[in-house]
Order: sequence, then structure tokens, then C-alpha cells
Amino acid sequence: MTGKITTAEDNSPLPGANVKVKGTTRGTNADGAGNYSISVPDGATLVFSFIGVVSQEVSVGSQTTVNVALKADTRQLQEVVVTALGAQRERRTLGYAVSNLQGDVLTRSGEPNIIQGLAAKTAGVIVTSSSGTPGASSKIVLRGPSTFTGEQQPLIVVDGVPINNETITSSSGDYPFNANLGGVSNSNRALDLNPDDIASVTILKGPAASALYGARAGNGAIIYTTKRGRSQRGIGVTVNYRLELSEVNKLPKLQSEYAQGAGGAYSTADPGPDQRLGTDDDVSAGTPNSWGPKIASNPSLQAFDNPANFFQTAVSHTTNVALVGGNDKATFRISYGNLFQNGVIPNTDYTRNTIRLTTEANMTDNLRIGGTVSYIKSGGLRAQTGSNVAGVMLSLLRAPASFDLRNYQYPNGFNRNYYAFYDNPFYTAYKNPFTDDVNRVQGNVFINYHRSSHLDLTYKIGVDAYSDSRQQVYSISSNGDDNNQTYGQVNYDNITNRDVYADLILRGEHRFSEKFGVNYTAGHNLSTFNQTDNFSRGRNLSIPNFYNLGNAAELYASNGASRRITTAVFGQLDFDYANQLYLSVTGRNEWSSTYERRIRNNFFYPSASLSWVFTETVLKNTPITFGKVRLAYAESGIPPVPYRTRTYFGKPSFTDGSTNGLIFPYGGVNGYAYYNQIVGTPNLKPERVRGLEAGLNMRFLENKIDLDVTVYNQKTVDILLSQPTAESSGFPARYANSGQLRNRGIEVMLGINAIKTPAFSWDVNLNWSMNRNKVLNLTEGVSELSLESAFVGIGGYAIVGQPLGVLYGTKWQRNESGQLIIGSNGLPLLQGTQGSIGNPYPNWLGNIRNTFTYKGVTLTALIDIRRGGAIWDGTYARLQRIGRTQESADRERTYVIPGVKADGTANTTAITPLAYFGSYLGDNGGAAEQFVEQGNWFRLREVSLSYRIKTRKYLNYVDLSLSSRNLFLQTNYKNVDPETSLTGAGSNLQGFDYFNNPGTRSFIFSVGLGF
Amino acid sequence: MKKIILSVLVLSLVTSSCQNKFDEYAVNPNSPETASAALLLSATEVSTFATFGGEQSRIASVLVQQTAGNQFQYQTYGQYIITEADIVNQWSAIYNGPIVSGRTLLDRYGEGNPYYSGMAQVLMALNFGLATDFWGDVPFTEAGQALSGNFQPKYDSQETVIQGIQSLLDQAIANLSQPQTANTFLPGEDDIIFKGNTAAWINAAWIIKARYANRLSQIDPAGSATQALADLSHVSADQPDMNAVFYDYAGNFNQWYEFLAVRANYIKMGQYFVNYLQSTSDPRLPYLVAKDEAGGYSGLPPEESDNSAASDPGPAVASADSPTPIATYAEAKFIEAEAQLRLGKADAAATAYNEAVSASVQRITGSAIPAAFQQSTASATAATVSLEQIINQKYVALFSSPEPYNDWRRTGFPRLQANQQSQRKAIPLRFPTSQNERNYNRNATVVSDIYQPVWWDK
Repeated sequence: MTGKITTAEDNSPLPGANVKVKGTTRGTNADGAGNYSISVPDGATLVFSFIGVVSQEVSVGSQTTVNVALKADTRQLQEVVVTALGAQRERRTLGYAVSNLQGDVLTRSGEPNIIQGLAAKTAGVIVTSSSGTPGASSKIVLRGPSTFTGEQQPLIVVDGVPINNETITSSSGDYPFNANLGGVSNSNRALDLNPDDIASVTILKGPAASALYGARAGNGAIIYTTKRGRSQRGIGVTVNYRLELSEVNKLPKLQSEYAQGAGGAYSTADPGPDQRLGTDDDVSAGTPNSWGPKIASNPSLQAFDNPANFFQTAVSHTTNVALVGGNDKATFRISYGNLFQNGVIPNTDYTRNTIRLTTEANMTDNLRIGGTVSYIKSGGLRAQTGSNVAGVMLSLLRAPASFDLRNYQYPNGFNRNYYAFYDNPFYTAYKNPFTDDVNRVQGNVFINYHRSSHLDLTYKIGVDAYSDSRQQVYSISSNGDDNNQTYGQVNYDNITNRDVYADLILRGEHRFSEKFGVNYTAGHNLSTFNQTDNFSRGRNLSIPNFYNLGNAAELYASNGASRRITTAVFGQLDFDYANQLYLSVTGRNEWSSTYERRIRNNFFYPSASLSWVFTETVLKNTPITFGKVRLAYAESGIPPVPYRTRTYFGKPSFTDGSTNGLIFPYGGVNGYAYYNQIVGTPNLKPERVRGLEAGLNMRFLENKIDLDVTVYNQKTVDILLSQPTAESSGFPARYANSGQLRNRGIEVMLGINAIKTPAFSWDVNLNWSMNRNKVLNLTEGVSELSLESAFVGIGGYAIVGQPLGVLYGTKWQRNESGQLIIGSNGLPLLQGTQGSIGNPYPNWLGNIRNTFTYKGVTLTALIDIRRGGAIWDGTYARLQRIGRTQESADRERTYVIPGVKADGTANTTAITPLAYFGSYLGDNGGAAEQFVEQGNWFRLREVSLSYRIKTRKYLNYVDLSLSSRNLFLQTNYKNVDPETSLTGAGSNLQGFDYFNNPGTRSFIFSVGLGF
Repeated sequence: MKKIILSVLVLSLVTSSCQNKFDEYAVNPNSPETASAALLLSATEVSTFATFGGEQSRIASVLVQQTAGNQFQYQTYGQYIITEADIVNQWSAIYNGPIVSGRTLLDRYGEGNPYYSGMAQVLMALNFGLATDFWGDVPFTEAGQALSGNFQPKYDSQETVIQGIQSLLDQAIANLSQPQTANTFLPGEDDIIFKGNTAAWINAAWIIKARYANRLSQIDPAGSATQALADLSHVSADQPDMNAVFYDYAGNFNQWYEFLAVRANYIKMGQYFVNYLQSTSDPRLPYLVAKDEAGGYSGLPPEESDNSAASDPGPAVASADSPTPIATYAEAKFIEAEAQLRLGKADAAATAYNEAVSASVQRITGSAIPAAFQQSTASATAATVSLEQIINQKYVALFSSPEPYNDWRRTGFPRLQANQQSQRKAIPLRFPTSQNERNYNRNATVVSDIYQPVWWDK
């Protein structure tokens, strides 16, 4: 049997369209010209289907050629989506909200990170990149955060196998602070996947959609399906190349009038005869302050634009080659992807090489086997960020205009800077490299036995294993070493991770009558997690620029490991009635090693969802083409982290917060203590996310308008929490089930097919979502608690009655009408206690995509709007204090802070600019509330113009496109691009900006060839 | 096809028939559930080095102008802005450090180990003292009992806490006086302070008892003096001082030294302190104060900041391995001088004072007091000895420990002028309650006003 599959609209071929013999697994795909060939038994019925078209069944009879023209289905009425555990279901039957995106959404975004590529693509998804530096992590939260201190990100599943998406920050066993606040921006491990390998993405936003994943799906799940091979004549080859040019898109406004110094007197660092800063012969250490004289007043001084001199235009190259082929027995796809990104910070880059083979074969009519294997090598050179005297932005933005940073080393190669105790940003970029080298293998194999429509059995086992070897160097004379001694340091950190996942799934269907049937699923699942982290460090290096532990006079090592095993049995029943009423119930019982075995280690997670396509019964023959209501309830979970059912001793680092403290071995003596240990709880339970959601999907005017609205109310109970305790109890925290949290929200997705002619089309897609998060309770007697250790003056808190993660810091004293109360020295008075000063999560998110297509030309523009989302701008506060901001150049005057005195009369006390910018607008005693800004933005996240040239000879097509990311950004935020996060995806702190590396704007040219 | 189904089922069973894996996976490879008496003692001692040698003493030194807050966080402290978040680490360092380690040592090894018990009790008494001196009412009777389920310990009045400290020290002295044979385990190298020397521990316990007796000088002037003198009668000049011990090795550094390296220029020497040493031609000057950028000795007044040219703390207090005093013979003699003076025994007071100054010079400079300085400063008589003189010299002798701040609050000496650019133009009288206690302990007595004096500070 042969034939050609085309579109009904313009008879163009439909490469890749599916042909299946009804009632069997036998099937094939059309080749590049739309031709197919398949052997079929007599009397068979062929089913022709493809994404975006209405599928069609044809009785073969005795024909040997069947050509079909499939009708376009722009709203994808029969859209098949991948749901939990890889089950493919028609979208119309689903009783819960899912978002389904095609893989080109990721590639078109120009983002190398399959997480960041989801930003502003659908409703109810909050993506936050940590910075614009190559390889930096992106954090994704669906709807709103479901838990306090545990994992808040969804489960990431690729081809049915969950993969590791951790963001691991290197930290030695004796490092006492939150390592997320400094160091480098690490990668989230999903970054290892090549967006060009992704065929589609399904986002399971709520617990109803993800309940079958049990205790790992309390935050929802994102299911990536990779591209597969197809049967066709010859081998199809696609090649594409992208060139990307990036530049910094936003920096704070700095003054260039006043020089380095204090009290109007100029001073700068002078290392003395040894040409090395920070030593006893220093003539002057300099100052970080720019309260010196006017640059114009001193002929020996001139102003430099250091940020402009420092940042560069970054060039990135992406190359992808894929080969696909097969026949009706077997198919394959091999792909190779290479990404090389340069950073806007000198000497930073990120390289990723991926190679992937996917193959499937029909061994008999009933037996299909297949598998995927991929090898990934990724990593790069990263720059120091955040609260870190070797941080690039810390030293760069603080650098006085009077100091030219470009001359960054003395002739002897030592750090040259304006202040002895910071590294010159050039010096740290070139001399203190952090490198990571990730080698990762992901693979899965499956065997599928299809006996009949009543019995279909699949066993799948997948492995995701990687090693991550990191090296951090602090050159001799760099201040970045742990003790700021400038003696040089080298850290090695070797992380290995292995996730193994296996499941056995039985599926089938049974029809009770023509109208009424059931699909059933039952299965078993096993998963293990093994991670090790070996850290070693050498300090006091002898030979410059030689990095090996042998070169160190002081050695330290620490190691850690974490393991988890879970098994589960699960089942699902999907009833359908009269092609309009659908009921689905699921259940999963799960066992995990992270519970105390002798008490109870297994728990059950149920869900139920109902949907009714009412247009099958009512409102027929109206402008409403399609209408469906849905309702779902589910419980999914979040499991405890390992080793929290008991209390352990730890190797202490006694510190007061200012130094790295005292550690063991101490003068050769060892010690163990409960210092900074967490009290365990034997009878831990999983935390449960109980979600109720309802939705309405309607399509009007022959599917020209598609509206989907979801409302949800998700409550997390028994929250597993590393709950801070009063240290007078002897412990700083205990791990227990306590607290409740609620997320309520609305998600609206509207698609308008405004114009559709054979030559021209205009589509508008609009997504809008709002989430309201509220902490309902914490634990007995506690109404406020810290989520994670942060800076002394500012933290992220859970407060009863407020949204999770509110910024928490010092506040001004105010009278009833909100005016500041000014003290005798002319400065406002601080409140004695800290409190909530801003919600870091947005009020709402919206995005609009307009797509215009004229013949082969497509113009698409994605506008991304965010309202609200407080950010603590610690950078700007410090820059005010040290006199670097443009505002602080207005200093030839006094200031009177608006407010009232203690007696209620208006304040008239004039203060110096130093007090005004330092202690009121700056962080020398200024209230933290003063530094909180809303991270509103309006950005043109994506604009692209692409053209497909179809050719006949040698080549099928040529794709050309020109696009830009963040071409336009409008924001009230005073510092860098407000899409920023100091703590990255590995942390639950949100809205922290303290000398974060900046974001970027980029221009991308790409060319693709299809053979 | 049955073969296939069977093999798939077998495969699935093989991967899941690993119930014993659950046990294996539940074992924590990173941390132990038990620790020996030796490990706990060394942890209790080192955590005490952190509490006495760290931030709490440094902030105290800024408040009494031995040092000055020059930059960043310390510049802010120098303006007397000390918030409930600033001192969370200091509070935690005490209770999550030596208090819980000491209590665990007593709970697990107290029976049959009087020496370990006695040492733990001395260290706990010291740290309860540090807590109550800065915070007033603090948990004592219910402190450190999270493992028995008490996460919200009640606060005891400062009077109760100080009685408790005295009683802990009495028990310690009794325990340390037991024969060696009464012990199952004997402390040795794990006792970093005295290497198992119980006589030295007993001597230190008496000094600390005298310190807390004398602390009540404003509550019961005569009784406190009598009690302090009774305690001091057990103190011998031959016993070694109790110091926080440090080594020139990263992670074991003197915490003043490390602070000056990691937080360079956050503090500089205080002008009052440097001027006082210069005006008395004190031989301890080059030991307590480092040279400034100009090669001399200078300090900053509390109003001045961001001047990195001034002196840093000197080699006797801020070398990588210089010891920080916890309980010294010099302090004992200053307490004796003060107590004798309070009882009207000026002659005995003068003798003790002269001895105290000499002991301090010997301790800090490593050599005997120079004759000229002895003549000018350590030759008080019954006619000339004064409380101000005693406390001013104690202020010099105990630089780098928190005692000078306690003495200033108690006696008003030395006569300091508060930062004139601060809101209140007055030196704070305490630390505010830790933010964590306010948030997580409903039994906490919350005091946010840093000008509310503690009970013994009348």
C-alpha cells in the first residue's frame, strides 16, 4: 500500500504524517514528500493523522494506493497531548488544564536553556533567570510556590523518565554561610538538554494533572518529548546554525563627577614598593567610597566609564545537525548539537555538545522495542557574582569614576585596584576562573507488547547519570579566597549523580457499549537517586598561576552523599460516555526510604477529574463551535529530604557571621557537635498539595477564537519544613510537618486566528495569569519564619496571612498618616523589630504573541508584561552609600528628609549629603524597606522574522531568520534587568539583587537547511 | 508471547525486589548519631573560643571606644544602630554552641565522669554569663532541651541566671575535686584549654565565681564584695590563665586576626583608648595597637568613619595565634581591688590594684612591668587608689574581652562621651532580643530597646 498525504488547503505534502493500521501498532510516517508505504492485511482500515490536522480513516478494501488530503485543524480539536506517565490522550477528554507547546517555541526563543525557553509562553508559569551570564540557572515555578523550604520546581520528565534538574552550589564542609549569596551562577541541570531535540512540551500545572507521579509532583510536572525518527525514502538531514550577538541590556545610572575618597579628599590604593595590595608596606589601602573631590577640580584626575570599558559584545554559535530515517519496521534519529556561548563579561563562556540517538523497531506485529541514548558534555568558564569581594559587579559598580580599571595588574601580575580589599573585575575575570565540566549520559530502553486493545504492556527503564567536575581558582593576590588573605586558593568539587527510573505499565480499553467505554492503566514504578559530592581545597599557594593541590600549604577536604529509593504501584481509569462526558480517576501508593521505616513509609495519592463537552448536547448550531467544562480534584505530594527522621551530630564551623569561624580539626583535635544541626522527626509524612480546579474551554466562529479559562485553589498541608527554632532550645531548626499554604489563581489563554487566507494569516495568542499565595499557618506559637539564611538586614520569610517568601527587613518608624518620624540628628528612626517589606512574586503576568505569516515569511513578536514582584535592590543601596549613583552627584547642598519630628511638627533638620545618601537612601543604617523596588516590566521578549524558501533540487528548504531577544525593556527598576535572582534556581529565596551579574539583549541570525 | 510477558514481569521484579535497599538507603553517610565525651568537650571549648573571641567582644569594644566602627556593618554599630537581626548569630553561637554541647556532654557522659562534667559546667557558666550580661533575662533552666521536646524555653530572670551560674560553678569545683579514679574517661588533649589540668580549671572557676559575685556591685555593694573576696581566696598566681586558644592555621585563627583580614577596615582603634595609653606612656601600647599608615598610633573618635589610615588592633590581641583572655589572674586582682575598696579597705585595694596592673603588663608584653610605668601607674596607695583608676586600668588589661563593657555599664568608667552624631547620643546598655527568639519562642521576654538596662545595671 502506498500513497501520498497532503493538506486539503493547498495540496502541499505533509512530511511526517502518521499512517496506522487501525487496531494494531503497525504504522509509519510519510516521508519528506508526503509519500508513505505500508503493508496491510486485506480489509484493514488506515488511520491518517498528524498534529494540526483532522485525522481521517480510510477502508482500504482492495486498493493499493490511497492518497489523502487532510483538513487543517487550526485549533487542534483532536490534539493529542502527553499526560502523566507518558499516556497520550486527546485534549478534549482532559479534566484539567495542561499547556502544550511545540518544540520550535524553545528554539525560536533563542534560549539555550529548555527551562528559560518557557518564559512568557503560556499562562501560570513563572520563570526567573539568575542572570544573563552563560550557563546561569533559571528557576521555574508553576502557578505559585507550593512549599516553604523544599523543592518548589516541577518534576522534569523527558520521554517518560524524570531527569535531574538540580542547581548545585559548591560549598566546602567548613563554609558556614549560604553559598548561594556569592560564588558563581551555577547551571540548572536541565540546561544540558538541547532545545533542538525537543519535539513538544506539556506542562502539567496542577496536582490533578500530575498526581500519578505521586510524591514528586506536588509542584506539577513538565514533560518534554524528544524528536523521533520516521520512515521515509532516503535519509532526511537538517542542519541549522545560529549566530547570536549579546550585550548588557541595563545597568544602574552612575555618577562620573566625583572622585574616589572620603570627605572631599582624594585617596586611592597604593601598594608600596612590593607592588602588592593588602600587605604591610601598603602606602594606602584606598577606600571603596566615591565621596572624594570633583574630578574636574584636580588636573591629575579624569573620569572613566568603567562599565562600558568592561563589558563586551558576546558572540555565540549554535550548530545542529540531525539525521532521520527509517522504514515501516524501524526508525531512527541521530542528532548532534553544539553550543558555544561567550559572555558579556570577559573570559566567560559556556559550551555544550550533545549527541543523541533515538530508535524504535517493530520486531513483530505486536512487539516494539526502542530506546534513546544521549551523551552530553557541557560546562564553561564562569565569573564571580554577588556578595563576594572577588565578584565582578561588586568591584565594577563600586569602582570610582576616577580609577581606570583596565590596567588591572601590576607588572608582577598582582591585583591592581582602587581598594586593596576588592579584586579588580578584570583581574577576577581573567585570574580567578571557575570552570565546570559536566559529562552526562541519559538513556532509556523500552519494550512494548501489544496483545490487543485490552492488553498493552510496556516496560521502560531509564538512567540519568552525570559527573560535574569543578575547579575554582583564586590567584595569589586575589581577595576571593575564603580568608581574604590573598595567598591564593584552589577548590575542586566533584559531584556525581545517578537517577534510575523504571516502570511497568499495563494499558487497555474496554467498551461496554457503543457509547460507553473505559481505558485502564495499572503499573509499578521504581526509582533511585544517588548523589555524591567530594570537595577538596588547597590554600596558601606557592607557585603563581599553577593550580594543583600539591602547590598548597594547607589542605582541606569534605564529602557528602545523599540517596533515596522509592517504589510505587498506581492505576488509572478513564471513562468516556457519548463522546462528551469523561471521568478519570487515578491512585498511587508509594514507599520511600526517606521515611522512618519502623513507623510508616508508604502513602497514597488520589485524583479525580471530570469533563463535559457540552456542545455535543446543547448550544449546537451557534457561534460556539466547541465548549467544554472541567473539574478536577487531586492530592499529590512532596517527600521529605533524606536523613531527617533522626538528629545527627555534625562537624561544626563555629562562626559569628563576620568570619569563617573556627573549625575542626582544631590544633590536631577533632570535635563533633549539634551546632547548626537540625532536630529530626521520626514520624514524618509527605507534605500534600490538595488541588481543586475548574476550567472552561470554548471555541467560537469555527474555531477562530479559542478561550481557555482555569481557576484553581491549591492548598498545601503538612508542609515539610526545616523550621527555624529559637536557638535557646539548643538547636536552630527542626524538620517536621507543619504549616499550610494556599495558592489561588486564574489562568486565561486566548487564541485568535484573526486573518486566515491562503497567503496571509495573523494569529494572536494571549496568556494572562495571576496567583495569590497565602501562608495559612506555620507551627504552634510561630507566626513568622525565615526560609533560608540570607543577609543580616534582609531575609525571605513565611508570615501567616502573607504571601510566601516576603522580603523581611528593617522598617522606618511612621506616624498614623504614614509620615516618617525624624530623629534629632535629622535621620528617620528605625523600628526596633523587622517586618515584611515586599512580596517578591508578581501580581500578574501577561504575554501577547502576534504572528503574521505571508507566504513563506513569518513575523512574530512576543510581548511580556509583569506587574509587581518586589526586589530588594541591595546593589543600589550600597551604591548610594558609597556615592556612586547618579543621584548622589547632587551633593553640593544639604537635604531635609520629609517627615515629622517626635513632637509632630515638620522636620526641618538639614543633613549632609553623606548622611542623606549613606544613612537614609543607603545601607549605613537606612531601613531595608527603602531599598525595595517593584520589579515591573514591559519587554519585547522576542521578535523574529523568518523566511522559508522551498527548493526542489538537492535541498527541500532553506530557513532564514533574524530575531532579537529583549530588544526593548521598560522598567521602573533602577538596577540591572529586573529578571534577576542572586540565589538562582537552587534556592527558595526570591527577589534578591546584590551585585548580580546583568541581563542581556541579543540579536540572532539563523539559517536552517533541510535535505 | 507468554515468554515476553514473563520476561518483562521478571525484569520488573528484579529491579523492585530490593526491600533491603530501603534499610541501606536510610543510613546517613554524612553524620553520626553518637559522639564521644572527648569530641563533645573539644566542641564545647572551641565554641566558647568563638563566643568569647568573636563578634560579641568586638561590638562591645566599639561601644566602649576601645575600637571604632569604621566601615560597613561596624560603621552602623558605631552609630548605635544594633538591630534584632544583627545579633542573631551571637545569640545562636552561645546556645547552639557551648550550651547545647555542654548539656549533651552532661546528659550522655555526666554519670561517672566528674572531670568532663566539671569542665562542661565551667564552660556553660561562662556562656550563660555572656548571654545574661548582654541580654538580661535569658533561658537558663530550660535552655538547650530541644531533644526532649522543649522548643520554647522559658526565660529566667537575670537574678536567677546569675544564681544558676554560681551553682553550676560550685558543682564544677566539686566535680573537678574528685579523685582521678572516679572517672571512666579522662580528658587529655581534647581539653584544648588546660590539657586535663583540673587544678587550673578549679582556679578559673573561682575567678568566674568572683566575677559574677562582683557583678552585683550595684545590687548588694557589701555582700557582693565579701562574696567575691571569699571566692578569690582560692585563686593562685601560680595557676595558668584561662584563655581562648588559637593556632596559626586557617580555621583555627584568632578571631580578631581573622576579622581584620576578612573584614579589613570594618574597625579601627578607638581614639579614646589609644590616647589613654599614650597619655599614660603605657608599655602595652605597641602590643595592643598596631602602627597606623603614618607609622604612629592613632584611633578614631566614634563620630569619624571611613578613615583607613588609623591603627588596627595590635599583635597581642590580633595575631593569628594570640590568645583571647577568658579568666585571668590580672582580672582576679582587679576584682579584688574593687571589692576591697567597696568594703572600705583602701590599703588592700591599692595592693591588689598594683598587682593587677603588673600582672596585666606581664601577660600582654611578656616582660615585667617597667619601673617608670610601675612608678606612674602601678604604685597606688590607700590614699590615692580610686574606683576610676581601677576600672580604667582593667579597661586596658581586658581589651578584646567583653568585660570592659560590663564594667562601664556597672561603674560608668572610663568616662566616655557617646557618639555625638547618633540619634540618642548615648551608648547602648544591652543587646536587643534576637529576632529568632521573638519569632520562634513565645516564652521569650522580648526587649527591643537597647537603652533598657539589665537588672544588675542600676
